[in-house]
Order: sequence, then structure tokens, then C-alpha cells
Amino acid sequence: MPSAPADPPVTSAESAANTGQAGPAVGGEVLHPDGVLHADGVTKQVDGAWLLHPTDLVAGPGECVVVRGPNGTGKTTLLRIVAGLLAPTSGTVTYRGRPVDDRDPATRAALAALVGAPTAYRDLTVTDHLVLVDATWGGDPASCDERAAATLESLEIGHLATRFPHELSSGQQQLFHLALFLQRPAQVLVLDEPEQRLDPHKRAILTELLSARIESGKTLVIATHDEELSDALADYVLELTAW
Amino acid sequence: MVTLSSDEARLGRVREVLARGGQRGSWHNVGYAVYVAALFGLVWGLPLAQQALRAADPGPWRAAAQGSSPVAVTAWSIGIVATLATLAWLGGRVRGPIAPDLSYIDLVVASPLDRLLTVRPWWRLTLFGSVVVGTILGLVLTGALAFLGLAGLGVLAAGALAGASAGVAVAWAWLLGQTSARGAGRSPVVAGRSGPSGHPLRRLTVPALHDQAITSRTIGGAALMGDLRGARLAAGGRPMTGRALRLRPARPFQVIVRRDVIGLRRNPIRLAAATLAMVLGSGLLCLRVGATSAPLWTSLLGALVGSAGLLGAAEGLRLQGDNTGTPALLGIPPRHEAIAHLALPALLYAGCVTLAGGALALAGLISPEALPWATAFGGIMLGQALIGAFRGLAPVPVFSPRMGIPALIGWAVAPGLFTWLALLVCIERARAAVQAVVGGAAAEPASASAAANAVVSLDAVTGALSLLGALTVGVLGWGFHRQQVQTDAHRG
Repeated sequence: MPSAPADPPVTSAESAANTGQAGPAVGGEVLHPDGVLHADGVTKQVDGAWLLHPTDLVAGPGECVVVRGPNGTGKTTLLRIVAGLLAPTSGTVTYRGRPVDDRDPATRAALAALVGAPTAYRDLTVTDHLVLVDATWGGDPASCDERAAATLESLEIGHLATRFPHELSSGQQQLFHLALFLQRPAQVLVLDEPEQRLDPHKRAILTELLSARIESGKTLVIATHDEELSDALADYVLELTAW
Repeated sequence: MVTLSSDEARLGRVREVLARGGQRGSWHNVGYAVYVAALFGLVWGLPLAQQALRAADPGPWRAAAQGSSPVAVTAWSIGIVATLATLAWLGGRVRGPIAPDLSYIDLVVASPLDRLLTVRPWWRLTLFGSVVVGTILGLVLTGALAFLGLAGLGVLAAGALAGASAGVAVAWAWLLGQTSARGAGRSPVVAGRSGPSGHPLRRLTVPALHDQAITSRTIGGAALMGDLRGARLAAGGRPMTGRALRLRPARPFQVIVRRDVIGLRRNPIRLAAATLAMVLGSGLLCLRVGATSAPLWTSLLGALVGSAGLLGAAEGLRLQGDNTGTPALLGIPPRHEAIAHLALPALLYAGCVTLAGGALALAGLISPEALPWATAFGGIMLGQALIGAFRGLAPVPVFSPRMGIPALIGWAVAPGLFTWLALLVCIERARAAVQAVVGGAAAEPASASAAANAVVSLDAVTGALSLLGALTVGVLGWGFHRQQVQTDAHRG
């Protein structure tokens, strides 16, 4: 029987609001009494190894929490837990007081996550994917094509509409994934390094699109290494560091 | 100027260098493989073929052997060879017979040496191996017929010749499949070396050989790891056609069905193969259930081919299985999505039963009562598709040193075998029920035996229906359970 892992050292935690600056060390806590997305003391351990030390996170409508930190500090793990894709070893994540779990239809309806490559069908073109996503979320069939085209144009990839996913370059794949992600309705958007493989121009477009989502009242939780993206979006910064 | 003979000399020196690694020539391996195959055919193949023919009721075989004209036998043989060659051609598009190591491709095949010479050893090995295997198979099959007294010993020579010819045809189909794969066959033929006809070996390109080498390594590795999904994804073709087709918006369930329709339309080979298999399989099932004289093998083969066809049409379901563990993107619950993905294969299967069974019934070869039964067998086949799509990875204990490869093979085939057996049991019970009904209907209407027959018929039908219903629910339930497990597995 494996022995229980030692408790992690306790570190201080404080908020770092609207500055884009790094907060405290691991286990940073962002305080927001009116927040609707709560992660309370979530951890993840596998066979005694800590993937994520105790971490708190609170984010409300129209707010963006940027998660930062070196590789291996648990950013992706935290995002997967926050999105309900991964069960925490301890702690809880709730959205509007309801536990977050992607097996729960309410979670799936409220939270959209771009953590790793999303679902894609090798026999559908780029625009077919967007139509499929839109239609399964109950979008009006009469205007579905227009919405799909608008999403592609917003990322300046309208010319890729009839390509199959395997015909896209690495950066185009990322834009395609972002288009899929942005096509579905959601109240909370969880993104893991969405800027990867994008050129500066496309990063600027991405920043604009995400800013617009925040202004429309969506909640964003985003892990990024991009200073400009972080500065432009962050209401709070949660800095994770290695122990 | 580089000449053919100097190319041969240079290639010979290359081979000398390669041989310094201490590797034995491939011909030694082939010789050993031929020895083992011949031994296996003699010790196991011949007795097994005899037993199979006996078990499959030699009566019809004898009648067929005695009643068949040479033209009919030739037509059957050509049909079988054409089927094998088509399969080989399709296989060649994924992994052809010319399969050198990556280093050999990059360092030798990519060199200015004549490509015909650099890759010819693999082709010769393939041709030789195919001829030997075909000859052995021909000898085993005709030998079994001769030992059972269904044909004279003279048929052995014909069997060997036919087998060898089939081997040549299959080997060439395999090679042509490789040269017709995407990216292959487009390289310009080196000036002055096009030869008499631009041999297919010269049309092979380095990138295409490279792709196939990587694909075959990926498939092999995935298969060894019990990652059937990985192997399938590596082997599966990527659509490049049907770009002008558009997925039309609809309600969530309908749009999933439309997704599957468009997916199959973009893969016409898959669609044709699946439909053909379902027509053939369901026709055999109708024969077994609705024709008194249909031998047992129609049931065995019909269940196998019909299931394979339905699995081929369930690509959307497998793609859903491939995507489990990724964040939710579609606004339809996974269970509902799986049900929607079953709609198209179910409809296609029902259509194929109607087509094949209807034709047989119209021709008077089967009783029409067989059609609803054959349609109902589709329920178990849909369950098979669900289980197959959501298999996931092999469990860790399968890889323990004590269990080894047999455990992995057992894990891979067990669900298919179990559900196939369940299907066979249902087919045989349905056959008994239909025969009882047909027999009862043939009795004198007002007689006491007619009343007794009616009771027997009702019992047979009720029993068969109950069994079919229970097994269908069980297999579908197992499939949906696997879907749930796989959908939730990533939560860890």
C-alpha cells in the first residue's frame, strides 16, 4: 500500500489584481467574493507525485484569470481540473455553486475548454466542423452557415474553409482549434496556451477576440507564456512556481 | 555515364557493406518460412480443411463438385482471386510489399542507383512468397477434397497451379496498390532508365516509401501495445475527395447522421466495401434462416461478413470513440451522439437485407419469413460496432511477462468472438423457428397435426425471439457501458 505523500509546505497567497504581475509562489489565491467559478484547495497527485499543489482560484463574469509559471508547475493540470476534465485529488471546483464535472451536462453547457487538441473528424472539412458544432448546440439552422463563416473570418482563415484538418499547417491547426472552441456557446472559457504556434499578427487577433469575450461577460481562465497576451487580458494573475 | 551494370555493381558493394552488420540474407528467412508453412499445411492445414468440409456438411460440396461445370468452377475461382487481389490492392495502399528500413530508403533508395534494382529484392521475395503460399493453399484445399473422395487426385495439380497463379495475381495487385497510393508513382522516371514499360517499381517515390515505412512501424507498435485505435488511425486513409460536399445544418441528432453520411460519401471505397459486405452477409444469413438446404457455413460466413460490413459503415461511431477524453465540443450528450452514429449503419444494413433477402425471396430461394429475422440480427451487429468503437487501450495486466502475446490477442479478439457466437446462436434458433413455421404451414390445415405444428411453431418463434431480444439487449448494453467507461476514463 503506498504511503500517503507528505503535506506540501504552506506558502502565503495573495491576489495580484489587474497588474499582470506575478503573484506569490505556488498555491496562489485570487480572492473574488462575487466570483462564480471557485477552485478551493485543489490538488492532484499521482502515485505520490505532486502534479498540482493546493491552489485556489476564483473568477467572476467578465473577468480573466491568467495562470502563469514555468513548465511542470501544474498549469495544464489546474486547467483540466477547472474544466472538469480531471478529478482533483483533494479540493473542489464549483461553478455557480455546482460541482464542475464534464460528465454533467450543465458543466458541458457552461464551460468550454481548449486544453490540448479538441475533437476533430478526419472526414470533415474545416467549415463542416463549425457547422457541426453550431448545430449540436442548437444554433438556428437557417443562419448556421453565416455564423461558421463569420468565425473563420474573425480568425482570418476563411480561405481554409474547404480543407480537411490533416491539410492544415501547425499554426493553421491551432487557428482551426480556436475556431472550434469559439464556435460553441459557453459562459466560462478555459484555454491552455492558445497563442502557441501563432505569428504576432494572429496573436493580436486572438487577443482582440478574447477581450471581446470578456467584455461580453464571459469568464476566462487562461494559461499563457505570452506577456503581451497576459497584460492585455489579465484581471488577476495566478503564478505557479515549482516547489 | 552510369550504366545498369555499374548500378548493379555499386548496389552489390552496398549490400556487402550492409551484410557486415551480421544480418543474414532475407532469402534464408524466406526459405525457413516456406519450410514452416509447408509443414504447417501438411500437419494442420490438411486435417483442418477436411474437418471443416465434413462439419460444413459434405453433401452440398459433393453435389457441387459433381454437378459443377468447368466454366462454373473457373468463374468461382476467378471471383475468389479477384476478391483477394482487390483486398491486396487496398492493403498495398497502406502498406505495400516494398518495405525497406527507413535507413535503406534514405541512404540507398534515394541515391541515383536505379530504383528497380534497389527495391527489387523485396519484390522478388513477395512474389516468391505469394506463389509458395498460394500453391500450399491450393494443395491443402484440393487435397482435402481428394481425401474426402469429392474429387480425384488429379485435382491436386490443378489446385497447385491455380494457387500459384492466384499468388502471382495477388502479389501484383499488392504492388500496384502500393504504386497507386497517394504520393507514390508521381516521380519522374529517370532519363534513359524507363525500361520497356516504366516498371511499377521505378514509379515508387522515396516520400511514399518513407510514409509507408513509418505507417507500418506505427501500426506494428500500436498493435503490440494493444492500441487498436492507434493502429486503425495509422492504417486509415485520409479523405481528399468530396471537398465540394457541404454538411448542411439541422437539429443535433440529424446533423450527426448527416455527418456520417457525408463521411461515407467522401470515402467511396469504404462505402462500396461496406455495402457489398452487408449485401453479401445479409444474403447469406437470409439463406441460412430461410432455406432448408443452406449449409452451416452460410451462417458462419454471413455473420462474419455482415458484421464487418456494418462495422465499416460505422466510421462516425469509431471517430467518436477516438475522440473520447477531449473537452466537450459538441452540444449533444455522448450517449445520444453514439445513438445518432448508429442510425446510418442501421439503415444501411436494413436496406441491404431488404435488397439481398428480397431478391432471394423473389427468386424463390428462401422463405420470406427470413427477412425480419435477418434484419433483427442487426441489433447485435450494432452492439458489436459500439464495443469495437469504445474498446480503449488494453489493460495493464495483459502486458505482464507471464501473460504475453496470447493474452493480448485474447483481449483483442474476445469481444468480437463472443458477440459473433451470440449472433450464431440467434441465427440457428431463428432458422429452427422459420423451419417450424414453414413446416406447420405446409401441414393439412384442419388436421390435428396442423394444430400441434402451430403450437410447436409458436414455441419456436417465441423462444427464438426471446433469445434474440435478450442477447441484443445484452450486447448493446455492453456496448453502451463501454462507451460510458471510455467517455469518463480520462477523469483519472
